[in-house]
Order: sequence, then C-alpha cells, then structure tokens
Amino acid sequence: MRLLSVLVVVTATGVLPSALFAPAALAKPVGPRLACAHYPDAPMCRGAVVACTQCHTAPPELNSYGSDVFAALEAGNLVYEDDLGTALLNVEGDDSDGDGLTNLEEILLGTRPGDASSFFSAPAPPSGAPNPGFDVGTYDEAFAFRRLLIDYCGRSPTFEEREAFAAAIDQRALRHAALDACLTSSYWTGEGLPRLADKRIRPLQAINIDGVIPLADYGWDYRLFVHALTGDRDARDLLLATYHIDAAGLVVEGVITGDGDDQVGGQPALVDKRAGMITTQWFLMVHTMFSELPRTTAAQAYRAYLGQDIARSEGLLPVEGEPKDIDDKGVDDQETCIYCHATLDPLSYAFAHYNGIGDSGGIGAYNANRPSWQPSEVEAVLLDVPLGDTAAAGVTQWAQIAANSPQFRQNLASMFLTHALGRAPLPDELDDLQALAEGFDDVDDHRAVRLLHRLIDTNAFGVP
Amino acid sequence: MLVVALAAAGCPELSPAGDVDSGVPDDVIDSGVADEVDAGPPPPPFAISTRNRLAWKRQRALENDLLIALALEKADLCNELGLYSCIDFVHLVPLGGNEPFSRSQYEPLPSPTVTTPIALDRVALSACRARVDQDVAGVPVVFASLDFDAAAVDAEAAAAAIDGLGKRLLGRALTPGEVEEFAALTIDDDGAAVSPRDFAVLSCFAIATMSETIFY
Amino acid sequence: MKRILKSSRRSLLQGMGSALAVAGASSLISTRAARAQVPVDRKFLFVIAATGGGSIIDSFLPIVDSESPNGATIVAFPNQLVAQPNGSNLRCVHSPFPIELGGFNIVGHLLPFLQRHGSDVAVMTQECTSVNHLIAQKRSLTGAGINGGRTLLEAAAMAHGNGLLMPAVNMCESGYLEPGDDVSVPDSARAVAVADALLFAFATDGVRGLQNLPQRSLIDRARRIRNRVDDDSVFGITFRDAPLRRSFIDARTRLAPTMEANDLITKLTMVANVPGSIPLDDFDLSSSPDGEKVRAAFPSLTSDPFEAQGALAFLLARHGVSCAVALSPSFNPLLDDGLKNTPLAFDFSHTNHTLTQYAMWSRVLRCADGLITLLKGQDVDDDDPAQGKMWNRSLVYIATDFGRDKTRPANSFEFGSGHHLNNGNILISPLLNGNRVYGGVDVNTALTFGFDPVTGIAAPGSLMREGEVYSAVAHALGIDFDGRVDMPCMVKNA
Repeated sequence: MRLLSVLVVVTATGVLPSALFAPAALAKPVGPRLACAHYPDAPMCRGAVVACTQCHTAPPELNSYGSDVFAALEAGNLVYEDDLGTALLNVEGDDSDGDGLTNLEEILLGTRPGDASSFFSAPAPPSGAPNPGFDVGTYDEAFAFRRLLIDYCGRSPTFEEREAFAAAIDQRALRHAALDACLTSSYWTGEGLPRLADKRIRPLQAINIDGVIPLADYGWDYRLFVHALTGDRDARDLLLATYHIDAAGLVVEGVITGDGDDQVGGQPALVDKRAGMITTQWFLMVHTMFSELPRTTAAQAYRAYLGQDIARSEGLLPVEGEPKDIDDKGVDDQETCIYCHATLDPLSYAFAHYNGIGDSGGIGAYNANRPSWQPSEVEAVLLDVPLGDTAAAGVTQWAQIAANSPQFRQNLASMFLTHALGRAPLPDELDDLQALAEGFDDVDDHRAVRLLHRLIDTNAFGVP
Repeated sequence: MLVVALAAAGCPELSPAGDVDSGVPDDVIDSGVADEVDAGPPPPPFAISTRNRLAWKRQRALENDLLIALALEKADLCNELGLYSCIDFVHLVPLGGNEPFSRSQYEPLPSPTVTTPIALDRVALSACRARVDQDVAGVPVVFASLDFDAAAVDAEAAAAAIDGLGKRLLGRALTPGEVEEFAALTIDDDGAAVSPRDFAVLSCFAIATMSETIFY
Repeated sequence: MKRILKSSRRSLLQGMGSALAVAGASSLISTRAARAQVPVDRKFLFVIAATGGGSIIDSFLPIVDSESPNGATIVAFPNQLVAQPNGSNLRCVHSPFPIELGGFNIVGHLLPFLQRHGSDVAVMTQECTSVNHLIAQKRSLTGAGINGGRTLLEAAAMAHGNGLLMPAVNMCESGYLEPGDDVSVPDSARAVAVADALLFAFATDGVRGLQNLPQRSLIDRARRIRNRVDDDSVFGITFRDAPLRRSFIDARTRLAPTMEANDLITKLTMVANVPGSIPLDDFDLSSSPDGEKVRAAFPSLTSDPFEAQGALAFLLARHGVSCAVALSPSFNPLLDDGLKNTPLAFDFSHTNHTLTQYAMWSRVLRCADGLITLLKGQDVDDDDPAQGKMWNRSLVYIATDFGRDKTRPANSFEFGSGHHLNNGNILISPLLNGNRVYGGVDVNTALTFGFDPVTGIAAPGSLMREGEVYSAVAHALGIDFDGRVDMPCMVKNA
C-alpha cells in the first residue's frame, strides 16, 4: 500500500510520460497520406498510413530516399502538396540507398528505399536430390504439424503422434483438428495468449504486489484478452466488450465494485461507457494516472490495438487546427511537438472523460465532467473520423471505429503471424498477411480462431 | 564467410577453450585473426532449405517437451543452487521467455543469446540426471534396456536406449549412423568403459540438446 | 493472473540480502586464471542511462534563484539548496536537511559524488533533437546518427574490443537497448543484452553447479559427438544456413567453451556463500575473488537490480570480457527499505519534478560512484601494476533522454514538468579535462548554451547537439570516424 501513498500524496500536475511527445518536425505531416494515395496497394499502406521513416531517418532529417524525393520536387519546381506523386514517380527508378534494389522495387516489396539495411532478395528454389526429411520449398504437412503444436499447444508432437500423422490419409484435416485442440489448451489460454497480451497490458508487479492490489488489478485485462481471442467469439470485443471475465472464467455484466473510494480492484466504468481493453481500470490507471488529457492512454490504445505507434512516427493523420494545447502543456509551442500532437491530441480527447488516479468516483470510472475544458472546445478524431460528443459517449465511438478499421484487422493478423513465425513477416510473406487481414471480417466473421485456421495453411507458416 | 565472422570476435584476452570440437579449426578460435580462406561447406547431399526461416522454441515448450519425453515432474527440472528455477527464473530470458511483471520485459528476445546454449545444456543435464536417478532407484521408465548394476553397457542395450531417446526427445527414429555415433558414449576418450548411469545421462543430454530440439 | 516467478524471486532476494552480513573469507579465494596482456591502448566505456529525462539544471548546473530576475518562475533553487565542494568549479543541488518523497526519505548523493570525483567531471551542455523517449534515448547513444548510426557501445567495441568475448554488453531498457543502424557493424560488436545481472554468472557454464553428473571430460565428449551428429543430421544439413541455427551453433561451439575455460561462473558471481539460502559451497561454486569489494561498492546488489548491473559492469570489464557496458535504472518502481526507484524513473517528474530529479540523480550518481570507486582501485593488469588503474582508461557517460521544462509555478517545488529538448550531459573520466562546465546556462531562461569545441569558451547563442556529445566521448576514447567533431578543449592531451 505504500506505493499508493507515493502516487497520491504528491500533487499531480503533469501529464504522463511517455513515448508520445513528438519527434522533430519537417512540417510536412501530410506526406504519409499523399504517399499512400500514390501507392495505395503497397505493403506500407496496407491497413496503415506509411510511417515517416519512409523518407526520414527521424523527422526532420531526410534519409537518402527522402532527399532524392525532395530533390525531385525542387528540380521540377513542384509543389509538395500537389505534386508529391510526380516526385515519387520521378525517383522510382533510382536506388537511393544503394542496396541494389530500385526505389519502386523496394516500395512494392515493402522494404525501405532509404535504408540500405532494408532489402530483400527472394530465396532461390531448392535444388538437388530429394530431401529425406523435409519438403523444402513447398508446403510441408509434417513441418507445419510440428510447428502448430509448438506454437499453440506449447509442445512438440510425440513420436507416436508423428507416426500417426505420417500415416493419415487427410493430413490437412488432422492438422486442423490438432489446432482446435491446441486452441483450447491450458498452454494457449494460460501462456501463449497472455504473453501476446503483455505489451498491450503492460503490467507492473510493483503496482499489483502479491495479491495486494493498491491501484488496479490487471488480472481482469488478461482474462478479457484471452476470452475475446478464443472460442466462437468476436475478437472485436477487445475494443467493444461491455462485460468482464472473473477469475472463475465467468462473464460479469454491470459495474464491478472495488475497494474504497477509489474502487480499487473493480471495474467502475459504466457499462455503456465501456470499450473492452481500453477502458479497464488497469489500462486507465496505468496510462492516464494524473493526466488531464491522457495522451499516453490514447497512444497505447492506438499502438496496441491498431498497430500504429506514434512514438515511431506511425499512423500520423494530423487534424487541421491541432494541436490546440487544450491542457496548456506547450505542445503547440515547439515545432518538434506539433508534428505528432496534431494526430495524438485529437485521439486523446475522448479518454479525458475517464478517471485516472485521484479523481472522485473511482479509478477508471467514467466522469463526464473530468476535463476542465468544455466539450465544444475540442473535437475528437480517430482515423480521420470525427467522434462527436465524447463527453456523452466516452470512447465507445472511438472503439467502434477502431474495431471495424483495416488497422485493427491488420494488427490482429500481424500479431498472430508474427507470433507463429517468431519474427515479422518478410516481403514474400506479406501477401499471406494481407490475405489473413482482409479475410478477417467476411471469411472469419471476426473470430480469431478461424483466422488461425487460415494462418496455418499459409506458405509463410508451412514451407521449410 | 562463417569462418571470417567467427574469427572477428576471437578471444585472445581470455584463454580459449580447445577441448570442444567446434567444427571450426582451432587456430581460428585461438588467434582472433580472420582466416581469409573460406572453402565453404561441402555441397549438400540433398536439396536443402533456401528460405532458412526457422523459429526458436521458447522456454515453455522446451520445458513441456522435456517433461513429456522424460516422464518428469516440473520440480525435477533444473533449479540453480537447488532453489531457483532455471526455466522460470534464472535462465528465463536466454531460453526465450520474458518476465513482464517484475522486469517490464513485455516481449521476449527475438533470437537466442550467447548464453542460450549453456542454459540449454544446464536444463537438459538436470532433466536427464533426474530421469536417470529415478530409473536407477525404481522401475525404469526410459532406460529399461540398461543394467545399472553392470560395469559397462553392452552394444545392444546402448542401441536400444539411444533409439528410445531419439523417439522421446526428437520425436523420430535416429538413423543407424546416428545411433552408432551416440553409442560411442559407452566409452571414454581413452576407450575405457563408461558406467551405465553415466552413459544414460550423457546420451540423453547429447540428444536433448541437438539443435532440432530448439528450432522448428 | 498468477505469477509463477514471484515467490522464488523474493526468496532469492531475501536470502541473498542476508549474505551481505557474512561476506567474508570465501570471497577472497582467488581462482583467477592467468590472463593475456591487456592492450595498452584499450579503453573502457560505461554508459549509465538516466532513464526518463534527467535535467542538468537539477543536478550539476543549478541556478540559484537570486541569480536570476526570473528566479521565482524558472527552475531554480534557493542558495541553501545549492552546494559547491571546496576547490571545485562545479556545484550541485544538495539538501542539507532530510526530505521525503511520498513518505520515503531521499538520501542525496550529488554533493558526495562531486566531492569524490569532481576533478574528473565534465558538464557538457547540449540540446537534443527529440522529446520522444524512444527516439531521444537511441539518439543519445548514436549521436543522432553522426557515426553512420553506430552506437557508442558498438563504436567502442570495434575500437577496443578486439579479442573480447562480449565486447559490448547492454543491460538497459527501451531505446537505450536498441542496436545501432550501421549495417557494417559486425555481430561481434553488437551489444549482448543481459536481463538479469545478478545471476548472469550462472549462464556462463553448462556444467558447474549441477550435482551428480558424469565427469566433465565425459560431458565434453558427449558435446563433441552431439555437435558432429547435429551438423550431419538431416535437420542440420537442411537448415545449415539458417541464421538462427548458425548463431546458436557459433555460441555453442566457440563462445560457450571459452566462457567455461575461463571460469566466468566464478569470476562473475557477485553474491557470497550463505548456507541454506545461497549455498554456493554445496554446489562446488564460489563467489568471485572480487565479490567482497563489489558488494562493498554495491551493498544492495542482491535486492536492487541497478546495483547488480553496476557490479556486473565492473566484473565484465575487470575480467576481460567487455570494454563497453551500458546500464540503467528501470521504469519500474523499486521499494526496498525506502523508495529507491521512482515509478517511471526520471519521468516521474511529470508528477513531481523537483523531488524526482533529486532522488533519481542521487540514485544514478550513487551507482556511478560505486563503479568508479571500483575502477580506481583496480589495476588494469594484476601482473603489471605499472599499467595503472582501470579508471585511468575509463569514461562514464551519463546519457539521458532529454531535459525537462524550465519553468515552474512561482516559487513552487511541487510541480510537474514536461519534456524539453534543452539539457546537458555529465561525463566523468580522467581522460577529460574535468572540474569544468563546457557551455553554460542562461539564468534568465534556464536554457543552456554551447561552447567553442577548440577553446572551450562558452558561446551564448550556440548549441551543442547529440553528435557533439558523441564526438566528445569518441575523442576521449580514441575512436575516430568521419565527421567527428573534435573536442580538444575537453580531451586531455588532445
């Protein structure tokens, strides 16, 4: 309980930390949108807007590709906002970073044309006598069988299981049956999925010590994460759930009362103001803390569930007239701040109506009157969509837009494919990723389990 | 290229180890000077992977595989100083795990570290010793072919034990050549017989730490 | 969510805590193997990251409020909270009376540090180029790309790490842990990430400390046979070019045997034998011959991961394993007989600027003090004392993300601060012309300004950037590269 006193005794006047404050600016934050308008089907624009690092080492410094693009703009006396596409076209045949691939080749592959360390050459087809153990270069059923058991059951197949698999007439059917069993295993629900949740929940032992919960209980978060991604459930509940899962695994509707005035250990947010993982008591406590405008909270929601990390100059969709610096933190003062905050601050307004630490009504409770500004002074925006009256609706509209966005399904597909492969997909695996993401709505009906069944059939997963 | 890369970080400051066959010439290990001559590996006898995209089997799957293969309980596995779990604590990170709660490690390392092979050796040695101890003390589960009271291991018993270990630890039948290689563990470097207990630990350890046990 | 680690972790720490009381004769046993001669020009870099934004005007470049017409509203201190050791050109924030943060005492360590090491301290002003934690942290180690994206650790490893087992080791978090962007840096010079300094020694020997095993010679024979079968197996042949497997095989066949042959499991074991809780003796293990002195320098190493990092940094350098080591306090709070680490480290300044800065600067400098004290007492070569002490070849660079806001509510000491580009760094080394501030601070605005790199004369209106800080470190350590901004004013004998 001592930590609580540390956090509460001191007067809170600052915003929370974070990875949020902006990198230096070149004042061209429209660049990502323009680039993706020119290359809408390029991997860099799938379920995202291209990161600033496409043209910058880190803004405002240009990388070699960015330098060439700007040189092309100058050479052609072109106007950035109107003619960027022309400049991009003019440097397509160049190899700005000297890695042996033209800029256009890199854009189509999904590597970075201004980074010599980012390149790709497709592997040659295997040659030679037949391999006695692996179907190299083609989908290998046995290889995939072992991989799925390790990935989703947390163990290798036994000798007997391998023998039975080798003898099976329909190996694909056996693979999918094995996957079904794995996805209900204690490994997947107790270890595999929780480890995928770690960086999204960001637990801190010291704020949840040995069963003593001084501020909030992240156990609710882990359980909801696992629940939404297992069984015949809509994975969008990560952002849309209005319920919680108790320690017994049962769905709990309604407000969950916690201890004391702070409602510690409960889930005090009103049901109609809930948005799954991003309105839990833990999420709001650990990210909002004392911030009147909880930028860290919004940025983590954007990063964890839409795959857009503003700290890495990703997902920048600046809003005209922003940042307003509504909480007087000087983010409109420095050119370096404006660059990210024009996107970040509009993302954050909706979260200002939920308590962090020290607000009346309990940690994480919805509180329409929490911010000092009037609702009419700001306009919340996510992915270019205005969110309306966030004082009345909280972040529910934020979550609706997010859960049905290409970014959400891309992020989910990427999370699972990266986990399965133990690394990010390579350029020749991006089509698999794209197919997984695009099929999430219609083919999978938003079920993570169904997406995983498609995943284990991909070449990325099964070709040794 | 491999030889050059290895030599670039040679270690003249520390006494190099010369007693383990590394597969690269000793002078490369010792000198710390790049060997510019690289004949490259011999041509493979069959088509090999050109994608080469293996994944790293992380600590929990490693643990589960050892528990299943050797019919052990979790408590039987490696504990440093007899107290601190190798897999869950001491060697968690080099074995591919992460500790989000107390160390803020929200993601595991992407690839093995320089200490991963040692951590694997420790975990495998402990597990194998535990299995052998239990087989010696009670009804043998894994090493039924061995007579632990004998002074040496006969060839047939050794082959049976090795074959069983291959199936348990690798999930496959070892080739005759592999069985023969591992059967050399029935003797020491001087040709003297190794005790059945030691042979059991050594053969188990050698097979349990093959690279195919932690990559897939 | 059940956490399976916590009970064993706590019991270990409790057990090891009691070890301090009995640290004694067993730690004096020398098992050190003969070492090859240390190259005469080898130098050592230690980066201590002030995670979260350590402000220079809250440490060694404070403003006394009476010195400024805006003293009430810029970040400044009353005269009694600024101290200057006798004979020193430097001064620091120092509270002569006990202060608390959230009910916990803060034991200041800025003044003791200056008193002990002030002659080697160079305060270098700078203004960084990002107020984003991740980006700023990485730039503090790459000099914002001035050396092709190579981090200082990588550059030091390439310049001074030839022949070392792990030339660079990184125990930091977040952006400080990221590798550089220079693809020409060989893997051997990339920093090895170490997550748990306290127990790292156990990961340097595959056999020692395990009981009832066959003789080591038999295990080595099994390893040889395994390696051969592995390479000749269908799996080994099929994936012989797989990068993951290749690096694993390299570590197994080359690095691991070298670690074992050099008994690093002993040399790096910083804890003492304690029957019952740390029974090293029962497992044929022993504490490092340097164990007693590292425990004296870092008395809380068993319960404080940052102190364990400091101890391991010394042991790695002292035993010829590494020449460049980075360490940092965690973003996690640490409650250990007091608040040792604020939540979010320096970034808790968002909530309480003044006390967070004082507490965390004290924490960072206490660790630096321990490390420097050890280096000052250690011969470079035990067999050739004429080569001098390790400290004579060392540089400690206290990196940080960025500065903090320069203003405050009138006369307030309880306020939160945001991120600010303007700041400065602390470099400590006998290789530098120390006891000096390079640059200065405008008392009207609390903004720092730069200096002439040749003469060292302060130059209001100018700014030093990350690249200049990188250059100063590189220049002092004899690391050359195209584009280096030489700092003859800072570097001795330059």
